[in-house]
Amino acid sequence: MLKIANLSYTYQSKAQNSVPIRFPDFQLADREHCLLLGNSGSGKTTFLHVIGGLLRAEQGWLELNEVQLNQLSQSALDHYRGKHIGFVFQKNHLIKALTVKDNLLLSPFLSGEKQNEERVEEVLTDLGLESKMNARVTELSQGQAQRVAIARAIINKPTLILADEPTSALDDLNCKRAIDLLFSVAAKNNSTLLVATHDQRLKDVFKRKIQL
Amino acid sequence: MTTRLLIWNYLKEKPLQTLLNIFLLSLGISVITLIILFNNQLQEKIISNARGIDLVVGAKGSPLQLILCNIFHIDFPTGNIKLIEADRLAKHRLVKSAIPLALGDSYNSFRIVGTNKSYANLYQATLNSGAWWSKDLEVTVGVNVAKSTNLKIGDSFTSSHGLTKDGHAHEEKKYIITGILNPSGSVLDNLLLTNVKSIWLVHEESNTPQPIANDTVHQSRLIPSVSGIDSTREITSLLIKYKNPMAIITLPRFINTQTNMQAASPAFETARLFTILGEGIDALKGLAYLLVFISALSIFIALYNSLKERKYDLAIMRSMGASPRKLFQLIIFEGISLTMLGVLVGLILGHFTVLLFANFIDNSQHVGFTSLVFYKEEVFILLGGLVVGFLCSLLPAIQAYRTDIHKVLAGN
Repeated sequence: MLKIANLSYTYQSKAQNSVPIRFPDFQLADREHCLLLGNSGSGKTTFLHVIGGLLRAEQGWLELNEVQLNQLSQSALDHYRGKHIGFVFQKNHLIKALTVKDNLLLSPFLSGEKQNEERVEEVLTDLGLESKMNARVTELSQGQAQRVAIARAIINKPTLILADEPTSALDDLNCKRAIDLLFSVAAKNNSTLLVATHDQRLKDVFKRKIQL
Repeated sequence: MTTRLLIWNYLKEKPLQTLLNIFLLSLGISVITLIILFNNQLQEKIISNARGIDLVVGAKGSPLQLILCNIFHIDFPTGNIKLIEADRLAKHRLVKSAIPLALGDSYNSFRIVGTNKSYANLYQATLNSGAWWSKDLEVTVGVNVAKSTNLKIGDSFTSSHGLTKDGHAHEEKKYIITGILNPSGSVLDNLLLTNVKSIWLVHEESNTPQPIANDTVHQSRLIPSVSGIDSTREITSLLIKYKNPMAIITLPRFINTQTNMQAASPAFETARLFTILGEGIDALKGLAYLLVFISALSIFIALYNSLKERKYDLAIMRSMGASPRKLFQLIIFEGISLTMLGVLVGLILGHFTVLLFANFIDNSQHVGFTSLVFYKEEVFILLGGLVVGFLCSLLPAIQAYRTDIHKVLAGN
């Protein structure tokens, strides 16, 4: 479902030595969860953002579900991303002005999908958050907030979930919980999981690993 | 989730700041609304009350006072003029019609005007009930007078000397009410109308009875059945309508130089009054625009600052599929929502102030201001609110448009 070949990205900077970052070629099959390993500064986040269409690669092949992402126009890319890709970041980045429910509904609203309250309930129930549906984001605990962030990433049933260091700030117990949760929601929504991390604890969890 | 709901939640997140911005803007808008309402209504009143009157002739004094007293019934008379002289003027070839006015008495601070039926016709007055005055000491009263004093047809009352409540009462002669007028939106609503002779009768000293002679030979032109050669009779003023445009040039000069009377043009004097008022209004307007400017600045700063706090929100929204244009729209709509709320509250506040003013002011001074009219300038205020909202959110919106999602989300 994901095909990457000859992909590279160059940072636009005033410094003269702006060397293009070359990314490894790889392919993922449906539900072939994969770990993207690399030390800090190795370009994991950049790679993840290029795959997710947050950055545009100037050359190479980037294909998701038979769609060539770097050939899409900006608005088509935004739309495609909203519909098919879910992001989980190291920080939750929930919108504090909104309730849990509205944070989730924002995703279909912005990607132009149908806003389905039953789907919100379903996702929150799966994550054990049904009682927090109308709570303000500021009332949540750290762990609850992260689960809401995961719920937001999967509300549109994305084919690809991109997670950037989802566990590196967590202790061992919570790290295990978080990764288990990601696996279970990915399984439930038929999504493929691509996790970028330097967290060595995740090494044994994934079969497929790519080193940067 | 809708754009409206999203904006509403952002505004609600900072209730104090939002309220302050709305309040600040509404203050400026309400002052502008107030000026529009008062200015327009004042002009309408002046135009409708001075309609059909080309010239006011009275005793020498301030011309503005002459107009204010005899047309709007708010100032005091400049003095009296001789009926003989007034009669002579009424016969002038450039005068189409002349209406005599005799002022000086009041009831509960509503003015009693001695005049004739032509005065009521000037304002197309119609009877609500009863009849027009026909005999001496009969009065027909305006609608506000009847309402505020509870006088009914057939009631009698004694007038008091002067135009205020504490004048000495004319106990000897009693007026009787024969009719009540329909509301006309003119000064008539606040007046009691009778004939000129009644005013004279009330003022006759009881110890020197001097019957008003009926002289059929030398009838006064202005007050038929009264002797036109009785040099003791006086009235307050004459309201004159010109026969032709020629009179505009010659008649006032003739009166001011050749007679003991003074002529004042309502058009000219009210224009002068507006120039005087205009300066005050301009100063007030300046203050209002300053308030609007400050509130626009405050809204701009609020949006600009909130962008820093919201940069993750904006980046996340982009990652969820929002286009840069969507973010631009969101910030613009937020700014416009704020200013439109401020404008709406301001308009309501302005109208409400007029309502308070109209209700609190003494009834006799009630010139009929109403809070329930809307002027086309208010549409311009609404459009202005849109423009101000757009302008003060433009720069923040451009910044939102340019949000570098990668930098923000990868940012350490």
